[in-house]
Amino acid sequence: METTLTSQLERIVGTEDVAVSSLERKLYSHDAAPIPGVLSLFFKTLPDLIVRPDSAGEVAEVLRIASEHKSPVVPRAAGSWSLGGVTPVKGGIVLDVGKLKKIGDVSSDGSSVEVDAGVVWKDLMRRLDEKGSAVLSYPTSAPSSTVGGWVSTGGYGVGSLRHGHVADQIEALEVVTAQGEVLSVARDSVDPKMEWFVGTEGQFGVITKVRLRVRKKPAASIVRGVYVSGRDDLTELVRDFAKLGTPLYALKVLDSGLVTLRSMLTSGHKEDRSLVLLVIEGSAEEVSGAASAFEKIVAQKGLEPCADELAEAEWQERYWPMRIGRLGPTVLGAETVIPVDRLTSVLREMVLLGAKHDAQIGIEAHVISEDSVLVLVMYLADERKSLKYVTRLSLVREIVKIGLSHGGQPYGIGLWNSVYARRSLGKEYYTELRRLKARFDPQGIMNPGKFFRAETRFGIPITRAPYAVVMNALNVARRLQ
Amino acid sequence: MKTPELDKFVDETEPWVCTQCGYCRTVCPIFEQVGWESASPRGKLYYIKELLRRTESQQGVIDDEFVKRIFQCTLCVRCEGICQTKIDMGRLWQGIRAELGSRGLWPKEIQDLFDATVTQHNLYAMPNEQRTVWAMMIEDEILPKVGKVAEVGYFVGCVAAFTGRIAGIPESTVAILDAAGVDYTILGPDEWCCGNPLFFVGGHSAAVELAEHNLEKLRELGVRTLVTNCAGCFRSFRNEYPQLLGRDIGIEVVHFSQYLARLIEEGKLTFTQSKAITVTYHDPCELGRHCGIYDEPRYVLNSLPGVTLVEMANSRAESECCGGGGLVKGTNPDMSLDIAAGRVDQAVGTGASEIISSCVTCRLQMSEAARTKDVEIGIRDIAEFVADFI
Ligand SMILES: Cc1cc2nc3c(=O)[nH]c(=O)nc-3n(C[C@H](O)[C@H](O)[C@H](O)COP(=O)(O)OP(=O)(O)OC[C@H]3O[C@@H](n4cnc5c(N)ncnc54)[C@H](O)[C@@H]3O)c2cc1C
Ligand code: SF4
Ligand code: SF4
Repeated sequence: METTLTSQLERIVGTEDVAVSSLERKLYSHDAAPIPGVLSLFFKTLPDLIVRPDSAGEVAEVLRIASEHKSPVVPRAAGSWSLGGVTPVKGGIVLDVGKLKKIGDVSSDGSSVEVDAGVVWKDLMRRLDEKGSAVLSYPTSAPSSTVGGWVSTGGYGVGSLRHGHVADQIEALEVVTAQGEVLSVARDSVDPKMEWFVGTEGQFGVITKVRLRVRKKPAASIVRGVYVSGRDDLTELVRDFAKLGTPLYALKVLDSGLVTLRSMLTSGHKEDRSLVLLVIEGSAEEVSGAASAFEKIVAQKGLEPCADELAEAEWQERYWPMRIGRLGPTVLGAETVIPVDRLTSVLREMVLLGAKHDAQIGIEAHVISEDSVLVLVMYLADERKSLKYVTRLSLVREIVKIGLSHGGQPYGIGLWNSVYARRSLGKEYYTELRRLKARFDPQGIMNPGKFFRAETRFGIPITRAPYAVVMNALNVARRLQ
Repeated sequence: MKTPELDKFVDETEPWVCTQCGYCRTVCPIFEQVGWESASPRGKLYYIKELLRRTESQQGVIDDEFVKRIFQCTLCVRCEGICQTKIDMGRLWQGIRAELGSRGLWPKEIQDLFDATVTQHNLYAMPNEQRTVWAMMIEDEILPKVGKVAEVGYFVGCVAAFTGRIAGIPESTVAILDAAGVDYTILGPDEWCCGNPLFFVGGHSAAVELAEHNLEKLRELGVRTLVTNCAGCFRSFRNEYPQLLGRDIGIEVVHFSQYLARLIEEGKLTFTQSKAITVTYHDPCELGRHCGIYDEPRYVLNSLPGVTLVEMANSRAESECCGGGGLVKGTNPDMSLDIAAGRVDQAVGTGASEIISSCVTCRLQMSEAARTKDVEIGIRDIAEFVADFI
């Protein structure tokens, strides 16, 4: 059957764009997370083949053939996410959207641009910059991640504080459903609704085009920073800064542990206090107004501002949050969205967790709205030290739990957070999405075994957090070796 | 699996610090052409990690496809600059090639090039006595320079010496040196390949003999400053030799673009011609990213009367590769040319009428791409271009 499937797909996309070699299959069997290979006991992570369509038409034909064969299809873009979204659970076809990379012209009123789903954020940002425009917000993985990937994971990132969730930036989507139907879904469309395809991680189909809202490149943009000793006053400080209003484009905290770790990597700047960074953008007037307000707050609180060049240099480093991996050699991480007024408590608990497990921890907190913060906790590990690594992996779950205990949410679902799906989506929306799954993907071929609930390769539901299950399996495997 | 050869090049943790963020994919000229993960830096790294796994049941195996992919790399090290964890990619790619070599797994083209370089002392397997064939038309002026004692040595390099199409580069170089009144020497048949093709495949131990020979000959002639147009020779003498031999080589190594800047600054090189022309400068990987030389060639071009220099969308550390490095020209000639064509296209986008480079290979690559793809733009080495102004 696989040979027929392969040759049928080859007829659609050409032999060059179908891969079946063992090397390629291995490389498409995982995402960015360093998860032990024993996973294959539970999940059929090795795909049967990888296919690279180059148009919505080809995507539709691939999906029709996959439906015919009842073959799982895993949409994959840059593979920069770490929650198992692109990791096959039941083998099947990995559908790489890398060839969908056309960038259209900015609309005549300068308000939007249509791009293929596989367009890398960095490329789009550069193209817009040349035309005097800019995206509203972007993930810090912009040097590799794609527009379609961020829409599918439903993300927050740089600029969310001002412009909201990625969903708020989409004018329209083109989606190919599991049965090969090409849908154009506008923002105001009632059925299908656009939101069904945002943050649903490839469960309903493959996004092929996105019309994104864009803005005029701001006339002025500055970065300011301030050092903070201890964590007690962070919550209040962040709330005060958040009140700077519209000119504030981004606001983030580099916790002292992270600043210290990063200092270990540079020969120059040595620092061990937390650093709060602000990006202020707008007209020259707006920017200087907000800059004065910032200075006033800093002076009132008796804090030490960070030199402007250093703040700027730190901001330029925003794309490389995992630099500290060099000290690992492995860096693991987990994210949670928490209410802003719990920032200090959450940071404290995270640091205690690290100390308890003797793990070096580095935290970035991105303020994504006036009342919520996305907390990214990274910690060092060593993938090569199998037994200790297993224990280290369990911290991921502990980190999410701390977030939840403060009224927070896990960030993203994928495979690893599927146990929290109901909670993340809300019971009602979860039920609605399940109903829609049956409508758009009646055979359940799209990215199966995750999101709604994790399932093993044999379709057995995993009711506990998949991490815990894998961990136990790893312990057993070690003992058997 | 144990990888003793790889371990000589990078710390054993190096492959393990890859976070699989994928940034390197977006700058890699090979991934741009191929598009499969196996051709991306992170894909190769992931698989190297698989090979390194301790337990045999989990270990990957080295198959033909992996070998093919490892040699699809121009060693442009653009991946290093964008890397999340600053992995020492140049050394890593050399090391894994060395590892494959020690297992007898090099592709035939690589083995042939390697053997030619080691036995014939040039990568074209030409009789090495013909090293001055480029100077056929100016023999009377050049032959007296061969083997004479002088403080400045001009290292021509295999590519310029044996490739008739670019004989204009060494010809222009000596014309400029003469115009500036520089007393220089040429090794001629005593010039052996700098070893760059061997360094590209991690054949460092075989390069020791070449390095020692070249340095010995240069010492015999009293050379204090070595000048070369070839970005590869420059990188070998400047970066590889001291590391390979574990000592300071005792000779100042200067790229010809730097030397030009020096001659202009010292007032030794003046220009009598003026030409209203817009050019763009292509940073060769081995001169730019590998050696950090970006300013001097631009200084030279900006010093030329009438010349306007415009930059390409990707320049300096972000410069795109010409596709000619890493022996990809030998293993994957078509791909190599397609990469060059991409770079030429970018240059055309600037509106410049000529691309100026500081590397014999880049010059050859881009000229060939422009010719075969029918693109209207001039391509010259900085020596050829500057010679027109004296
Ligand atoms: C250094 C670094 C920084 C990061 N910063 C951020 C950040 O600031 N904010 C943030 O939200 N995330 C961040 N991430 C995580 C990740 O980069 C983002 O989630 C990103 O949007 C994923 O995009 P991708 O193209 O890599 O998608 P992939 O990882 O390939 O896919 C992600 C999910 O989307 C699905 N998918 C992808 N494309 C399509 C499509 N066209 N149609 C249907 N389904 C699709 C996949 O099946 C998978 O479930 C970061 C990651 C790294 C390594
Ligand atoms: S050195 Fe250049 S060609 Fe080789 S992997 Fe890095 S970016 Fe790709
Ligand atoms: S940029 Fe560096 S860390 Fe990221 S995937 Fe490439 S090699 Fe790995």
